[in-house]
Amino acid sequence: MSASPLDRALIVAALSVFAAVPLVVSDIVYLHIFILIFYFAFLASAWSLVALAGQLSLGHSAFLGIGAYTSTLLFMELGVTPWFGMLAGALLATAVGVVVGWPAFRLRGPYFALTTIAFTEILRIYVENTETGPFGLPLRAAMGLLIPLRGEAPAIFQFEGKVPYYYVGLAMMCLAVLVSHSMNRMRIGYYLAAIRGDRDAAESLGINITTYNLIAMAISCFLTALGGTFYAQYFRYVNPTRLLGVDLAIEIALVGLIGGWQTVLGPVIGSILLSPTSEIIRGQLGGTYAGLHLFLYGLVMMLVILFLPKGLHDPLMALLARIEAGLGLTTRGRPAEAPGAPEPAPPAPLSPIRARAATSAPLLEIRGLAKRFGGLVAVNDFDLTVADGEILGLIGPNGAGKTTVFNMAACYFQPDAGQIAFAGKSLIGLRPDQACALGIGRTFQVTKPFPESTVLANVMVGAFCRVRSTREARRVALEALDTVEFAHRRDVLGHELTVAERKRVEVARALATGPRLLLLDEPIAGLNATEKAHLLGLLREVRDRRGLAIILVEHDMKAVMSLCERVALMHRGEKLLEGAPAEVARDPRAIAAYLGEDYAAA
Amino acid sequence: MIETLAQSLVTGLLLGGFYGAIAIGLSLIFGIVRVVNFAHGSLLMAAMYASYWLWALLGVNPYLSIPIVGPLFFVLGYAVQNVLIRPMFVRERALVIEPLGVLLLMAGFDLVLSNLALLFFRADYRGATVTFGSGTFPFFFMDLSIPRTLVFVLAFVMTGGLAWLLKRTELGTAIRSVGQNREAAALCGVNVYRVYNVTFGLGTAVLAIAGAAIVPFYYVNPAMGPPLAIKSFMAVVLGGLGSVPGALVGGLVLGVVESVAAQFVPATAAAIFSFVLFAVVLLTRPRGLMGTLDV
Repeated sequence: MSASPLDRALIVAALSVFAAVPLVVSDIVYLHIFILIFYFAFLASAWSLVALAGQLSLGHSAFLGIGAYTSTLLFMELGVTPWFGMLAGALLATAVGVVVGWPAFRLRGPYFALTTIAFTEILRIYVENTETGPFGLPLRAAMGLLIPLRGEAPAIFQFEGKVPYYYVGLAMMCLAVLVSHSMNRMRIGYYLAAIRGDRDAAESLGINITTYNLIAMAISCFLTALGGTFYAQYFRYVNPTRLLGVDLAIEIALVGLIGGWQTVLGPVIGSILLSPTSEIIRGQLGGTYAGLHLFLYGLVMMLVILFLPKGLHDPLMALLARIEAGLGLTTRGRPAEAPGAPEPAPPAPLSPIRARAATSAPLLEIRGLAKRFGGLVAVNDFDLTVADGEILGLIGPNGAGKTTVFNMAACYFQPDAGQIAFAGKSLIGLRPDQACALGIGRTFQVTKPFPESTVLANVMVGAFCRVRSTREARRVALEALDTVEFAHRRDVLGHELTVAERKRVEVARALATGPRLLLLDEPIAGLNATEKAHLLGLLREVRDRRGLAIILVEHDMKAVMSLCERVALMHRGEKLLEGAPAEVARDPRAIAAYLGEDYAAA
Repeated sequence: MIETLAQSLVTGLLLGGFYGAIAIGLSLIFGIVRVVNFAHGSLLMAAMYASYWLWALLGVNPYLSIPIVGPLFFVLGYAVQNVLIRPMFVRERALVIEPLGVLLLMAGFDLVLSNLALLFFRADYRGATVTFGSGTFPFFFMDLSIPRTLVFVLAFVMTGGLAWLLKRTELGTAIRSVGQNREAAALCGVNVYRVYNVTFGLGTAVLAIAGAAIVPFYYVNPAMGPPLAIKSFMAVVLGGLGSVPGALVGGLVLGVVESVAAQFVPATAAAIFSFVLFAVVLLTRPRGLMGTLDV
């Protein structure tokens, strides 16, 4: 949703109010509450970057602790100012985060969450039991570190009043929001949404999942550690039980979840609601009713997850939009419905046709390919070549091994034997994203749209394979959507599409990566006769204009016969025969194995 | 030296039986319902309070409270699944899948339960002193605690009982079929949501039985849940997610590692060993030692 002038006005107003608060409010209790709001909003924003990659970290306090201990020890041992120690701690936390994240990101869901908890617990138990750490560092075990008070000393990040901490906290919150805002609009934002949406599809579009997960992790750890130094300087006490505790990590995650971690302002909203509530309950009723604030936290969390699974941000924004509409200030809705929405620039002419290779070397060359799953031989001694610009039909009964061949050509499976070369380069040992980068695009038999992204964003993920800027990606994506005549539905969400529509989006997504070879797995299944004819026509046109090669797996013989220039028939993992469509259709072996007598008679 | 080592091994096995006893319920629920029950620790705490108050107010021996606490927590578990978790499954089927939603829901439930206990029962540590089933008995050259040995035996009995139930009864067949493929089981006429309810009830009941049996030697307090829940997760992951006997094996491994490591380093630092072991297994062999589920 693009920001309307009123949104911008609201953000500016909120910032001005925040900036002016210390001029009006001098009660340190209230200032403290504001500082906590900024602090938790900052931490939850930083935490949400890992959540954007679809992973739940319940151990972020580890990075908070690393930041606090690093800057404090540097200050106490070497007299280094915490302003610098802050950066050192952040870099150390980033390094640790990447080292821990690298193996942990292979795990998903609860496994990842449990690993982060385990890591944090290891660190906490270690610090709580270590008086003198490596290099003689005085960790002072469970006692923690007390930062010597030097009075008003801005050079070493110490202030007497709360106001300077207030502005530092505000600046940090703005920093985190800005980082998250810009990430969302850049390639990495689209990529993380894709990884969250469907990992296989993300890889097919050239995304190296590990790299992008680790970038998100690195930025998140860096920011979190900055928060650790802030905590240390504000409270002048580094306490391992609190700072490295899982409780704190869960509190941070809660703020993000309740506010809405998928949105830029969600963590801020979560913090504005939760931080004062918990501080007031803890302060006012903590003595008589210990546990009340966490009881309420738990209750709110359950209610939010049950009734507002995406957090409070979206419903609040919808409410705001209705108020604005009621006041007649703006007419907002989903951009597709909004009249006068800025028309995207007319798609530039299609990318220049790649000169067809004059050489006779095939584009894709498969030799002696074999794949076994346990005792099942899925593909055996399979040969196939495809020339530039050729449309080849790969047919055969269910279970013949067609999709397995696709999965090996797109590097999802490694073959047990045989060679696959694409444009003269061997594909053996490559990852799917590398295959995509070389120019192999694919669609999936069971479609894999990114469910929470719009059609346009889905296709833009593909476009980012060859362009960097969001504007360029948008242009390429619209061009690809135009090719499959689907640009009018660009603002629909992935999970709202019908099966036939998903197939078309997948074709557009693959086209946007600028492939030289397109692997289409049953692209017209589920379409009616008119739609089928239409999509087939579009595919042929794409081939003619862009000169790409297509391998089509399809059971609709009419489609195969009309579109393909050559047909290969697979049976029980092997290639039974290959030739012009008409020849294959007449061949008795094809009739016996797949087509059937009815087809031959027809 | 050998004697000390043998002693720590036996102590470790008893400790492992304790971990295993509280982990098998978690494993059953994870294997079938595929929910990581973050409220596991607080449900254990609640069961222990129930058993404790039956002793403190009515004088019921904790072992004799098992026939009361077990069914009571079956009903509680059934209700938690039916009221809290089922709506999530219904929504998940209809809309976007939020695998972390249930996990967080249960984390919220955990906060609610443990802080309710704190509000009502205060942070005091409470223990039951019983005459029947207390004390020690001689075992070779050492003296073993009777209640800890009873929990060790109970862990094996419950594991065997669950295995029998899953393998030999019609209910067990339904439960296993749902665990393997929810849609296919539904198509075969199994009421999946009812099976989930019953499984969650069973897992909670088994946990509650273990809870009652540890009351004689383990102090109850509102904050006891999370540390024991983490131990249970570790036992389940070590043994293999989805395998009930695996949870017991994982618990035993954990107990022995902690107990033997404590011979060489301070006991608190020994906990690091179990976490490191856990992290290594999770990262190198996420299926665990006996697991059947893919990650």
